[in-house]
Amino acid sequence: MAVMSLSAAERFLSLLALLAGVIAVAVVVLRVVPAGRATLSQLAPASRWLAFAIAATAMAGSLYFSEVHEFEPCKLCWYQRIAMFSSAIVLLVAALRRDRNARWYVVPLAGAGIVVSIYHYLLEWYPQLETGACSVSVPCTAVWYREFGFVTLSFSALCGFAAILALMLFVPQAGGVTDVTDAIDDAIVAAGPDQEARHGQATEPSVPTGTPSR
Amino acid sequence: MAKQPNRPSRPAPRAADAAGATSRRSSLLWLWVALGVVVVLLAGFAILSAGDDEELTVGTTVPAGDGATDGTGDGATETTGGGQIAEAWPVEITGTALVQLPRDGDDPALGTTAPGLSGFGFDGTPVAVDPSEGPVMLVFLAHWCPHCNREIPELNALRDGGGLPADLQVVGIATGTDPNAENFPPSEWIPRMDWTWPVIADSPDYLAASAFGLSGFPFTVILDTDGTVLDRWSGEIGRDGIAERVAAALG
Repeated sequence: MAVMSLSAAERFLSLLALLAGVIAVAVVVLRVVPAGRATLSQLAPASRWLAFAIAATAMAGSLYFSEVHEFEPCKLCWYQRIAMFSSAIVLLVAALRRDRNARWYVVPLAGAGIVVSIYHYLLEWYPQLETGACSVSVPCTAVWYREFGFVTLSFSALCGFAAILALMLFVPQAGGVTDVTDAIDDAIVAAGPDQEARHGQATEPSVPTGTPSR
Repeated sequence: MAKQPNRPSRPAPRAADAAGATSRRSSLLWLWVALGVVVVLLAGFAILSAGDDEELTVGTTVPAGDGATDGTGDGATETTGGGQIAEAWPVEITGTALVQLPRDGDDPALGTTAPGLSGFGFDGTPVAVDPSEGPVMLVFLAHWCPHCNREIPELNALRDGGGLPADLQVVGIATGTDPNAENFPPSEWIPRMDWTWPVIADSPDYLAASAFGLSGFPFTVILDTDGTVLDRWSGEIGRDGIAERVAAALG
């Protein structure tokens, strides 16, 4: 980021937010179109890492503006940060563990986040919804920038949450929480039937559990 | 041993699985590569297309000579820049600052004498608030504040429709100026909003705003001809609200 001016960074992060928005729309379209299901299944192993990348980028961008350029976050910004920062951490762990249950933790976080983002974005266009004056401290109604005339920080968060929700809800989740035992099973299967026989283990049960549970 | 016949058939599905996994891995690799390329392209576009960063420019002044005509009295200053445009200028406050307008309840500043205020327009033109020439309405405005952006057209409507007393002197104070926020610079924002009354550019530390007890944006103060505070309010109240409060204050 050091090579970028603030205005370039604002534009870059706005473009990334739009990219996340495109990903969200693309996932929804693939889910709706019958032919798209197969593509989504292909995407499955990457969905958690992709969702993590989106949350981590949003978190890094948010911290860049607040810590480097001293954009002080307003109250609603903080609520969105709580959801986005937590999502980033949960998604990292979920991606590392190949946890197919990640959606149970991430969807509530991102769902709460997107509700706040939508309200915040509405407030930026219709400030009279909440108050009649901008507070002296950090008013939620004021925006730092409106890139391309419509991309604000809350809109960027909205795109990020939408992409995370789409990836978590509409992409079939692969993997399993028992990743460690899966690895052991995979190792036994990879060793081949002769190895299994030599270990004197019943071969039949090990085959189904050893098959990647996708 | 009974399972023996099955054995030869096993490698086939495993090979198919392996082939499927390999193709999936390679298509996912392409996905990440494509995403990486897109991100790099977006970064390049952003760097090349973005404008320069804004900075707060502060006007410089020197003590006025004998020919000072800005009517600010002792300690008057004039500009040295010769037409330089600056978003913030030094302001001069005389007298006692007003307490901050409380959120609720009566305003303790009503009936007290407001401090004197003089400063400069964005181009360095001296602007002094002089109630002796008629009652004054000070309107403190922040370029990034959506409520200010909504209230200015309301004031303009009153101006154009004759909804304000003819002798009322309206003075805008551009304060809260932040080069990182929306609509910067205010020297371009004020004319774009069709604000035609005089404007004082507040100092970088918002001295004028704090001297009048600003509690939010926009912030309005009405002064009588002797400098007494007749009314203060924070926030947008619309053209009817403004007309009513001005009429009530000036009796």
